[in-house]
Amino acid sequence: MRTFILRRLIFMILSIVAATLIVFILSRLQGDPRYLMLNTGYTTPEIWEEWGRKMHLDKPLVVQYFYFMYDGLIKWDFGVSLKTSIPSMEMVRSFAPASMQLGLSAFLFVLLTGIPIGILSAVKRGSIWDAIGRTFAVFGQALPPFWLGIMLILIFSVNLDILPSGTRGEGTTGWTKISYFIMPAVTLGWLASAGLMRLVRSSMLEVLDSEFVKLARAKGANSKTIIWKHAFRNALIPPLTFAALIVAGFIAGTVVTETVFAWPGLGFMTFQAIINNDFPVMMAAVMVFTVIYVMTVFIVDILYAFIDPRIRHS
Amino acid sequence: MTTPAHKITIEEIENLSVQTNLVQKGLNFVRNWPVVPMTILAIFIICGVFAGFVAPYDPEADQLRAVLAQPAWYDACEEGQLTNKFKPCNTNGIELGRNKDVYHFLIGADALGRDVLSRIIFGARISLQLAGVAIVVGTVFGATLGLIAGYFGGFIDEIIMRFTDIFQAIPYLLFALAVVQVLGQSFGTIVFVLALTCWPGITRLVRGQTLQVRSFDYIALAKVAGASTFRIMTKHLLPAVANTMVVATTLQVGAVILTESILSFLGAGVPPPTPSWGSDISAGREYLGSAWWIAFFPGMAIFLTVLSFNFIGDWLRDRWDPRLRQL
Repeated sequence: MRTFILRRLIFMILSIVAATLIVFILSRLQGDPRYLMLNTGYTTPEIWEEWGRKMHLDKPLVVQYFYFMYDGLIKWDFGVSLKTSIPSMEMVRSFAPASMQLGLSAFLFVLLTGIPIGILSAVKRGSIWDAIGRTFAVFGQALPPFWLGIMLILIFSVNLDILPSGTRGEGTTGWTKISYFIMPAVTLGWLASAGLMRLVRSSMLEVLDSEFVKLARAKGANSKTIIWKHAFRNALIPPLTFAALIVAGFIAGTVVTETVFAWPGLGFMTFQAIINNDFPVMMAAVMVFTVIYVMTVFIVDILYAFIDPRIRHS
Repeated sequence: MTTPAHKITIEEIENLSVQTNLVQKGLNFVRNWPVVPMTILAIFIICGVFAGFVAPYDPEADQLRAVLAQPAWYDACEEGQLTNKFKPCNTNGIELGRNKDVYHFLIGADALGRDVLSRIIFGARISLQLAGVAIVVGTVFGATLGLIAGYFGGFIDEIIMRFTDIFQAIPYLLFALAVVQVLGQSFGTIVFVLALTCWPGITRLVRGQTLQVRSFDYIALAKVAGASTFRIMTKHLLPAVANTMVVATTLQVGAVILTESILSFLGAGVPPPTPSWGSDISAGREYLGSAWWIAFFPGMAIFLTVLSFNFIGDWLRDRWDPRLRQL
C-alpha cells in the first residue's frame, strides 16, 4: 500500500510539473513574455525593466523556468490582472466559493438522478424504465452542455417564467435562493449523470448475474433484500472511480455553465479572461484547476485501492 | 363434409418465400445497419461539401431589413413576441434589395439579418472540416506512439505510457483555451488543439492490441525472414490493429465535434463572421426572449451530428471489435 501511495504521489507531482512546463512554454512562445504579462498600453519603461528583472529574462531559459515554477507553485504569484489590476490569485480566491457551491449542487444532482435511474433500469431490464434510462444516457452524451443550458432558460425562464435565468441570486434566501441553483446544477451535472447512470446500470447487471446473488435467490431471500443488500453494495465499487471523472467533467463544464448563467465563479472568470486577453488570470485559473483535478484523481485512486486490494498489486 | 384442399403449387411456395425474404431482408437491413444516423450524417456531409450550392443565401451577407426575421412557418407577431413595427412580421417572404427580391427565411434570420439555415449549412463545413482533420492528425500521432510503445516494450513503452498518463491527468479544455489565446484563432491552431484531445485514448488502445499481436507466430516468422522493424510495423502489425484503431477513432469523433463547438461558443473557435455552430448559439443567447430560432437550430445540428457519430461508433464497435464494449 505504501509503495502504491508513493507511486501515485510522484505521478501527481509530475503531472503538476508538466502543467507548469506547458504554461511556461506558452508564455515564451511569443518572444518577450512581458507582452502577455503587462498591459502594454499603460506601462512605463521603469515597470517594463522591473518585470524584466523579476522574471529573470537575462538568464537562460532553464533558469527562467525554475524561477517561474518557484513563483507559481510556491508563492502562487501569477502577476496582476490586465483588466482589473487585482493580483490574479486574489481574483481566484474571490471567485472560488461560487464555483464550489455550484459544483456541490451539481454533484448532488448527479447522485440523486444517476444512481436511482441506473438501478431502476438494471432491475427492470427491458421495461419502459430501462428504455427511458438508456435514452437519457444516449442523449446526455450528445447534448452540447451550453445549448442544454440555453434551452432550459428558453423553456423555464422565457416561456414558463418560473425559474430565474442567471446569476447566483445575491441577497435572496430560502426557496428563491434554491431556484437560482436548479438550472445551473442540471446543466453542469447532466453529462456526468448520464455517465454515472450507464455505469451503475452495467455494474448492477453484472452483479445481479453473479453466483452469490443466484445463491441468495435460491435461499429464498426476497427481491428487496437481494437488490439492496447483496447487489447494490457490490455494484457501487466501479462507479466510485467515476467520481474523479465527474470532477474532471465539472472543470471543463464550469467554464461553459457559468458563462451561460452569468454565475460569478472561476469558470466565468476564465471566460472573461479569454475575451479580455487577460493572460495572468488565465494562467492562474489553469494552474488552480490543474491542482484541484490532479489532487482529486490522487485521492480517488487511493480510496479505490483501499476498497479493492486488486488495484494495489497491479 | 370437407372442403377440397387447395393444392399449393411449387410456384406459390417460391413466391411466398421470396416475399417474406424481401420483407425480412428489409427489416434485417434496418436492424443491422445504422440507417438513420447514416442518412443524417450524409445530409450534413453533403451540406458541408456543397455548401455553396445547397445554401439558399450568402451566410455572411447582412440584411438590415430582415433583422430577426422569423421562420417562414412561424408567426411570432401573433404571439406578441415581436412588437416593433419595423421588424418584418409577414410570413410570405421579405422584399429585399434594389430589385425587391423576395427572401424566404426557412428557419429565420439572426440579429444581423443573416439566414440561419445558410449559416448552419456553412457551419457544417467548418465543423466537419475541423473535426475531420483533427481526428486524422490525432489518430496518426496516437497510433504511431501506440505501435512503437507496444512493439518495443520495456523502457520506450514506459516513457510513452507515462507521457500519455500525464497528458490525461491535466484538465484539457483550459489548456486548449490558453493555447488558442496565445497562438491566435487560426484554423491550424484549432486543429492542433482538437487533435490533442483524441490521441491519448487511441495510443492506449493501439498499444494494448499491439502487445497481443506482437507475440503471434507470424510476427516472429517475419523477423526470422529478415523483415526490417519498419516493415513489420507497417505491413504486419498495422493491419492487425487497424480494426481497433478505426473503432476507437469513430468513437472519438462526436467528442471532438462537441469540443470544437464549446471552443467556438467560448469565443476561442474560428473567428467571426465565419459561420460556426457554437458561436452562432452564443450570438443567439441574447435574443432568446424574442428570436429563439437563432440559438435553437444550430444546437440541433450539433446534437444530431454528435448523436449520429456516437451511434455509428457503437455499431462499428459491436461489429468489428466487441471486446472494446467493456470500456
